[in-house]
Amino acid sequence: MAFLDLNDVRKSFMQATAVEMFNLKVERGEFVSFLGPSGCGKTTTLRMIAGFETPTSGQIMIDNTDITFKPPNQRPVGMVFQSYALFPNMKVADNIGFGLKIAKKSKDEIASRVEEMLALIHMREFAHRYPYQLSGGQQQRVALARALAVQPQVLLLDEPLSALDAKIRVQLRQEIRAIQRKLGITTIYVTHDQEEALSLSDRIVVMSAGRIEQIGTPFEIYNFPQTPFVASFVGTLNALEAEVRDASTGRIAVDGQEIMMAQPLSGAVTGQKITVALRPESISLNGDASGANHLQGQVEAITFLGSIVRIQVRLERHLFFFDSFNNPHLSLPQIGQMVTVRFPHEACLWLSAPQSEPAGD
Amino acid sequence: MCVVPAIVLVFGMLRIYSRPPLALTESDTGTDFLLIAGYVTLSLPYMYRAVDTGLRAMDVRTLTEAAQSLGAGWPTILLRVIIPNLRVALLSGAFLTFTTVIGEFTFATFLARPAFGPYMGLLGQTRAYEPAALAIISLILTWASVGLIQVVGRGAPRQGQLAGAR
Repeated sequence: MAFLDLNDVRKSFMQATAVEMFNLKVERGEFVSFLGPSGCGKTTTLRMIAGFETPTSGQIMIDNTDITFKPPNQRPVGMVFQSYALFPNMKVADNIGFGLKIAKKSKDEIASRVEEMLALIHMREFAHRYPYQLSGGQQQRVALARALAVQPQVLLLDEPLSALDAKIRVQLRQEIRAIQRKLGITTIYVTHDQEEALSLSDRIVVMSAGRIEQIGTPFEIYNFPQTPFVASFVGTLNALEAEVRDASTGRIAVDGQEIMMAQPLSGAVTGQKITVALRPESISLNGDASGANHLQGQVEAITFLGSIVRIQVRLERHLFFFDSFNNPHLSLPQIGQMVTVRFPHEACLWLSAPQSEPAGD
Repeated sequence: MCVVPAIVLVFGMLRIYSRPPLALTESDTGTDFLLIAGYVTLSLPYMYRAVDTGLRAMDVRTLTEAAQSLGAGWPTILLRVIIPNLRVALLSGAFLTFTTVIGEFTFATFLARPAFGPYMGLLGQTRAYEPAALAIISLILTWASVGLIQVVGRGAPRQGQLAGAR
């Protein structure tokens, strides 16, 4: 039996359905992210686990106890909010000790536990500051300590890093993961940032329009997306329209240039228009030529992004881009130059539903 | 300022409460009660504004949820989270009420209560120099309450967040 178990959970507001048929089993100590665009139901699901929303139907269990209809203050969960939600009238130490005070712990016990939590977040010297005297990152660390102080069985984080600037975000997410590993606490992390989800999670639940699209490890989600949505939402990719030449061997044509898919296109017929995805990092200018796919096109733009260089190539009708790692000896093509790019067969993913435009950010 | 003038309110009150079944004006306590009721009506908008501003300045919903997830019930949330954070708003509302009520004349005169307003009026009609002193005292009182709001407000934690959401 899983530690946290969501069973056929459904939530609808009036006519609109926010979450549909949500089934998830989370093991003890696991770090699971809910990833999806805004309005996909990820926060609603998290709030149902926290008890701020009641499921329309379905069941939520923690450690074999049904908590579906328990009020939030009787659930063994800790919550961290996007807006920190520290109590402005209390000092850092009192914020962290709030839950313990409610639980009627002794003064000494509270003091030692608060001390312990402050050490965990490396903020010992800030115990007597008010929240407004702290930076955003510090406030969120205090909020994390406050949620962990009561030793919840499940930690819920609702886009905890969205309000912070990029550098702090990366730093704090590593810290969150380190603390989570140290305490071995079961964690649900809601985010719309794929990089966060990919770098933090044991498993990712990709959601769209209230439904689970795919559940898997970051590796599986990124490399083997099961739906077109997952393929386009996670990572950046090129979506190219292609024509099936031979479904049984996986031979297709993009703007008249033939390429091979790694697998036969079962269910497709010759002449059918399909959409294939190409990850920009799997394409290279001078890769191994033997047996690999190649496409010829004209360089249209070159964007320098620091660690990588993104090159846009135009085929007859299609435009696609690929990434090249930056190094000082990199010889870049000229704009307008004709180039041949190569990529392995496995780099082509068949997106069953046609996509109107290349997605990504 | 006030949609229904105080004079209209007080006449309405006198008409209704000076006869059975609710003859409140018969006794001092009853009249005091009417005076309080009138003052509540007068100062409600000020108090409402102050509390409303206070509530808007803090994220009540998220703070409540944070407290709930830490195990707090409704009484605790109100007493330890919401009201402490409304302290400045409540106090400024109270002082605003005080300053409006202390100078109030109409209700107190018509209900014949010995309040500050009628007292000033009475002195003004019967004495030569004392009214000036009284006017200065009332001015000082008003300024003192405004000053007190500032002093009390300074000690309280600043509202809102330095960096971040909302």
